[in-house]
Amino acid sequence: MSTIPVTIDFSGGAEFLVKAKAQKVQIPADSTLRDVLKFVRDNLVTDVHRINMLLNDDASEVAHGVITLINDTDTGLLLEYDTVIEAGDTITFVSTLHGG
Amino acid sequence: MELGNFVTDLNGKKCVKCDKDAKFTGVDPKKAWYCQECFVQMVRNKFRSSLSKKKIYKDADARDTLIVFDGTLSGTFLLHQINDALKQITYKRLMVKPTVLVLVSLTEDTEIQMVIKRIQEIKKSVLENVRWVVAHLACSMYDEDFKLKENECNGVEKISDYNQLIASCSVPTYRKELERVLKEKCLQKIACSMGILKCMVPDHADDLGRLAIDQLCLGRGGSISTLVTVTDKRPDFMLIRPLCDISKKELAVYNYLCDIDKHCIHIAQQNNQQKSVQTLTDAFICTLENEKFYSTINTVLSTAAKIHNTSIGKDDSKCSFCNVEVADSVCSTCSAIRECTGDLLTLLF
Ligand SMILES: [Zn+2]
Ligand SMILES: [Zn+2]
Repeated sequence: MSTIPVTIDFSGGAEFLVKAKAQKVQIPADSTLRDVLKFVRDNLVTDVHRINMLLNDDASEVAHGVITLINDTDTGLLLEYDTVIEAGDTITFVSTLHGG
Repeated sequence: MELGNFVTDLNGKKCVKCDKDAKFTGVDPKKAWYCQECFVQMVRNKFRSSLSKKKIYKDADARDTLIVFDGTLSGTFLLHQINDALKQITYKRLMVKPTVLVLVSLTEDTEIQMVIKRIQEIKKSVLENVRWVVAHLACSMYDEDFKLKENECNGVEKISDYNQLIASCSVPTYRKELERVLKEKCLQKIACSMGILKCMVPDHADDLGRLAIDQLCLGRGGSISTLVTVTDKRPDFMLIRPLCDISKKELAVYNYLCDIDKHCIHIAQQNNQQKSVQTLTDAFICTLENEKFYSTINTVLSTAAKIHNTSIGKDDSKCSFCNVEVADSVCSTCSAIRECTGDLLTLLF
């Protein structure tokens, strides 16, 4: 299976749930944003107890209050979870859940 | 509701303010979308116009203002807006003389020390020429006269009293409301002790929309307008909420784009919250947003802003604890809170 290089970036507090704030990884070609969520769950999340602050139970959507951007564009302006990821894309997860 | 095809409608949209490609949306993705520059400008304008509409800094006097920084994304945003305004980065100069109040809610000494350390770092690059004071929410437990100390967290010796008081409240809904009112008391006491009459808090639209619903449930419907709009005059000071029109999502995206979210102080939240009116309100709003009813908060807030009490108590009397307009000296909600809370509270009334 061929893979493509992408950068996955975590911000707004989401970076504390994963290994590193920005990570260059290889994901399967033709992945959609929804596939990336599963990839994040299976490969990047280190704080498994608080994974619910980033993703929902079956990693089909992000948790309430998490914003997803692809190349600094709100995925609400793309095809949301069906957006197909291309080589070189940066996928950003911005959390609004932390702080205090 | 036909939502099926609106996603594809948005694909390839142009900014509503200029002819660049749209990259970000406002609260409701169906209503407005912006390029990056116009998005950032739109959020800044909301902040600025909330202050100018009410002419809060028109008079030469009383420019002294406490700027509350609680480490949240909205607190960070507020800090940077004041910083930019003083340095004339984004607007013509805002006539405000700020003092930053770092409001701490953590109770472990090591955590409080961590916050003080982070503050030392943050104030090297933001509002570096103004006075910063650190105070714990437990300052609400002080008597009227107390002196604030520099370079340490004020109020730590009252933390156990504060915790004891909160824990003594037996009803979760009233406990959360007690925390809210005590936070206001804390701000009022600190402002008064410094002789400052204005206090800017970082409450954003999402916070205030939920608060409006909570307060309706708590029977304070007649007062919600003052609780959720920009200016809230109290007997001895004024609360200002310049972020009341900005959503949490807009703040989060702004902070990310302007690379200021590094100045948030991240604190793990406790998830084991007991069911209360407030947690039900949160769940209610969450469900609506998940089902793409994005305008709920806006609708609640614009409605709440229009609700005023027509039959105010004689001679404008206010509840001595929460400050809502009532006929008696204590409103019925606060009476109920007092009934299910220990003796410590009576000392504060
Ligand atoms: Zn534009
Ligand atoms: Zn009251």
